[in-house]
Amino acid sequence: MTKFAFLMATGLTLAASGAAWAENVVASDPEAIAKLMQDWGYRAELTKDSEGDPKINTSAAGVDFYVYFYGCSGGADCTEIQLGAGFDLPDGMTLEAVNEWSSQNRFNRVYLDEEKDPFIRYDVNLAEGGISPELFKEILANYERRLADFQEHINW
Amino acid sequence: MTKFKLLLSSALVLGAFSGAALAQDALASDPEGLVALINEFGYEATLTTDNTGDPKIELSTGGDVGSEIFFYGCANNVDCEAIQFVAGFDLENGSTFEEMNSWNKNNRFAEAYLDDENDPFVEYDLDLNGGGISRDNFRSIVDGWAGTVGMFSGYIGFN
Repeated sequence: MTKFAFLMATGLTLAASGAAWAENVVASDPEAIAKLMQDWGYRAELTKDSEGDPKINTSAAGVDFYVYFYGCSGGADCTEIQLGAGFDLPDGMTLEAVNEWSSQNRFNRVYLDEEKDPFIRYDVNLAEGGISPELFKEILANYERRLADFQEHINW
Repeated sequence: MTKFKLLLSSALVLGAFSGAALAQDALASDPEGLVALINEFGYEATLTTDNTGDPKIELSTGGDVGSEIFFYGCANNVDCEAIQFVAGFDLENGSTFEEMNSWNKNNRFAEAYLDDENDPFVEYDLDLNGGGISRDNFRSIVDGWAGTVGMFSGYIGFN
């Protein structure tokens, strides 16, 4: 009985540390990333970009955004991801307005394309051990907030 | 004996697993730990405080360009949640919005912008809350930052 109780306790404790360690979010496992996002209520469709690397189509704050994968070799073993969204504005945006936004808002990188349309991106290193699911969830929430604030900023 | 063996193997397994996961993770709530890791990675990091009393790390990643790590989401100067790598460059004639836009379009991770004197800044925000990130992942990010600082200073013609 003592032995049985001990086995049980060990199993439980190992399960707890497994949650913190074994299932870290890594860019080399796009399926797991899409699955986590779905578990958290995101629409997350795993597909491929034009180069054959993984890409997840999703949305937040009322707009589509994408999870791009970088550092892949042959469409696998990726090391980084990028959260990205773009806005097709009737009159574009000014570089001054982008600069003002960038100097005041964390967790994003904004630029204008040739048509002065803004793109808002955030890069996450998910190599070598990766990050905890809890932290990844928070990063997605940060990006969602930034998408919401940015839409307000550009009157989307 | 069986029980003893079990105890022993449990302790070993738990030690190996949770030790690796917990003790070496990079967390914004542990500025001393971050400084130790960065120094271990071969850069020079010194812990100080900013003008609000929050932790701040002064960083040298090589060359003449220094950078700083600011802490965010702290409560009473401790228990911080996020960090920000920043390097600013005092240029005689500043830089342009076009140059910053081109950087932001063509380079991942760090974002570039100008201050009100048209001096360029480059920064990258890292959430280090909720379990943090692994030591090796943090090393990869710090190495990436060192590369960014070098590339950006060349890009804007500093030095």
